[in-house]
Amino acid sequence: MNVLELDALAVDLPVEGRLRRVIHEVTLNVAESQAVGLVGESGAGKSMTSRAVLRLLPAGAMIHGDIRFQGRSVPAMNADQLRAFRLRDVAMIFQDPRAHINPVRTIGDFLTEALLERGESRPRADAIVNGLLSAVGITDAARRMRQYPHELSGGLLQRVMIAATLAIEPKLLLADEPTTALDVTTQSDVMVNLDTQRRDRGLAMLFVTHDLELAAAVCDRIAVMYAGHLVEDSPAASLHAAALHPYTAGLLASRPSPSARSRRLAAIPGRPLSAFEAGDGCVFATRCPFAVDRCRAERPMLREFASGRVACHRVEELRGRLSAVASGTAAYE
Amino acid sequence: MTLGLVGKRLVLLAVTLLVASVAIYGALYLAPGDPATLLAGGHATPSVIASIARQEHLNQPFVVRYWDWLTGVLHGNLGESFLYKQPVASLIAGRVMNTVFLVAYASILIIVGGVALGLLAALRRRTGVAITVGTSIGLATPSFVAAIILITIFAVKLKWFPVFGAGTGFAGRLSHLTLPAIALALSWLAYTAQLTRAAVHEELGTEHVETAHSRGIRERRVISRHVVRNAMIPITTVSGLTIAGLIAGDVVVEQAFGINGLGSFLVQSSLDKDFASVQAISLILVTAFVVVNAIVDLWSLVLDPRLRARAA
Amino acid sequence: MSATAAPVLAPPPATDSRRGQRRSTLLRDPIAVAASLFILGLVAVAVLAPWIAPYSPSAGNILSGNEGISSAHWLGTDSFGQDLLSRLIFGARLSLLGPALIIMISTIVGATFAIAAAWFGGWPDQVVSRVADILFAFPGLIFAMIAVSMFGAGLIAPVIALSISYTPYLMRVVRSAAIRQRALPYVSACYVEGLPAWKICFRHLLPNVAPILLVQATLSFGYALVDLAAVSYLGLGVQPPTAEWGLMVSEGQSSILAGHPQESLAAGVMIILTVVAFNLLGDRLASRHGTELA
Repeated sequence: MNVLELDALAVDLPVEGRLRRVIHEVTLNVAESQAVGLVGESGAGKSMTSRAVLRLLPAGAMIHGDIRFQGRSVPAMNADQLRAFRLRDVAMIFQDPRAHINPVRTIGDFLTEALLERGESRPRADAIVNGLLSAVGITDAARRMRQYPHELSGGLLQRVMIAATLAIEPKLLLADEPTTALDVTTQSDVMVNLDTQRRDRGLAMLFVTHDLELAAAVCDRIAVMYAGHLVEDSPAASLHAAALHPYTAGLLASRPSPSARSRRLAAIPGRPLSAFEAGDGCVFATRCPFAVDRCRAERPMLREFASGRVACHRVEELRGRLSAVASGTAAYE
Repeated sequence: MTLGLVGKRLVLLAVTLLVASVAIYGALYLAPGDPATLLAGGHATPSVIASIARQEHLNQPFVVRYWDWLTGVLHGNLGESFLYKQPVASLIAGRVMNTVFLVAYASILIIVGGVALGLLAALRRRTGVAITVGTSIGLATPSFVAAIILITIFAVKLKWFPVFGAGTGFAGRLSHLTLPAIALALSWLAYTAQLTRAAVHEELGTEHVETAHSRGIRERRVISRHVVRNAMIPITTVSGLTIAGLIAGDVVVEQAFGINGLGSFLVQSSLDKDFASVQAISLILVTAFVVVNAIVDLWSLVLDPRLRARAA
Repeated sequence: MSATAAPVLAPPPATDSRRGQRRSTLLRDPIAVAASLFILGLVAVAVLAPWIAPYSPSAGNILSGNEGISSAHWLGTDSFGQDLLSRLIFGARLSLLGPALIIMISTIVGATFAIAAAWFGGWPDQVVSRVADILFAFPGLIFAMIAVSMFGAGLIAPVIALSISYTPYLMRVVRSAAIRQRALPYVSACYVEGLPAWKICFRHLLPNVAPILLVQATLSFGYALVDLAAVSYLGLGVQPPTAEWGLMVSEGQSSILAGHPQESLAAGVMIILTVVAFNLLGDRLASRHGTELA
């Protein structure tokens, strides 16, 4: 059974008094112990999707479609069920640990809070947390527990955040750009640690990021979002080699490569759209170098292709072309 | 590290008090007319003035006289009132209790009432609007206006409370000082309520509260452990100011309700130009003001660990 | 509203023209408009008092004391038989003039010191800040009482004392704004061009901190009104038979017990309404500029 199933999930948010659709019928599954990356530019709706799983949306938001956790519908849960769900089954790693941890309470307080809420005794909670701190690579746990967030660096704080999520032994981890706020060297350290811990414990993960490379390194499958729509969903390995969707190809082509020599860095022209800004037709049509009239008139549905799914009218024709773009032998145009 | 911080604050406290005391004592010399005449009060004959000049060593340099006064104060000698021909200390001894009771009563009302109303306003939309309107009016109501409104309604019309005086004993004081405490507390209560509402509202929207929600912590716990706890920081900072401002507002309320306290004595002494009393009481009030602020300052350090790092 | 809307009244033309500019951008805010209209109306009433008031404020017959509302006296009379409405109208003059003077003086003095402190920095700034810190320690009312005991009751001593007491609040706000302004590149540009320091301060720094100053001044007006009314209430301010709202509250207090609260209540309500108006206007101005305030 899949740990997480997003079934035609759509989310409306109140924007300037009116409800606007920001996530458009996303259907995605995460199997047990599987890591699925959710990739896209800022504003694509990926962060909102992960928050929707926890029902952590802003006031006034409306959820359509279904979110199923181990078969149970999340939107249908009442307050107590939702609390139990958040307490035991799912945990979220947020992007900016300094903002997401209460600055006037100790690290130890933060780490044990959820455990104590579940009814664990104080000594047992402390023991669990101590063990976890070493697992995430924090030494001198006893001292750290007594410290306050402002006394720790960003990297350490994020490890603390990760430890806190592991403490409740969830079945699913939601990671919302966990390393974006960190500097590059710390990023890889923390990411390696997170990946190891996840695999060791067999946890499923929905990994939200704008970094395609990172997602490919850590995840089993990658789902690509654009303007609130899911445009591609492929195994990480094959996506890395060649994309099925022009947008993904564009992302791959715009990776700066240390080995490429004086090749002009490709960029996808235009700017990303929110879901409600797109018109009829394919959401990517305005920026796609391969768009034809049909693309502008008719919105493509997500369908199975090769080992993944893709929403593009021209996927068969463009296959070879996109592989060449991905490997750098053809330009993105 | 913390000891150094506390030490710094205490030094600042002492310096402020010192300068304030100089200003209060020195004001005598800024006043028109010569000090001896002023000390003697309104109608003084030349011989009285001369004897005062001798008694107060007015031929001595300012610094010496100031020092004498200061050391006297620290030993409990608050000077001598020439109007009443008594030491100031004995004149105010009986009155201090009334003032302390009144100010304490009002402070409790402000803190408990203000925080409770503010919390309610932040957590419940509709009552929030009513509370905001009410507090805006409360903010604009001076204590003496509140006093006469309270007297009109509760003392004269409804006869629930006595109109004047401070009463004796605990129960008597409680009954007599309820209306005055409300009058004194009103505008500060309104201010605290508005501030609490804003602080709580802001905390509710923070990311760390989102984290607590995402972990499935019970709402009541989130509110107490994260929202209120953090909102307390700006509220405490302001509370110090309000309690200190109370000390000044107390003067008006005592006058309005005919309470025999430090405040009304200060007014009387000002009008009578009983300078020694004015000096002594001003010093007491300003000292209380500064000390309370210092305590609040230190309490802020306890509440917010980040300040300890910054101040170090 | 034109910049010349309010001519030479209690606030001098300088502060008025600034107020005029602000109002044109506030026209869309109903609360701010309502508050401004109320204030303007009040000022108009105060100025036109001799022509509007039905009676002279001190004309009264003790025999008709403490009368209720009637066609002859729209708000009744006070304990001396003086017409309450007329006393309220004339009372507006001093009740508004006092705070206006306080705010004017503390604004001018405070802004001057603040800009100077921001400009010179270093030890002048330190000195000014320390002095302000010490002034903060004195509640305004105590200051006023000390002043009265030195110089006698009336309007002058309390006004000066309160002006001194309010200066640090205005100074603190202006100083931080001025410091931020001073750090901006255009200031160095002016300096390099050879513009004398006082010109830079006056022509450039001042207009840019003016909005924040205005907000603080508006908000402080309410406090000043309350403080001064309290001084009069205590008998340390203006003396009878002059009409002033704070004084009227205290004069009418003895009548409350006899069942005639109208004098105290009427004056008290006027104070509340005026302070509410200034607070609302100040709040609206503040949210427009997103400033930090004392």
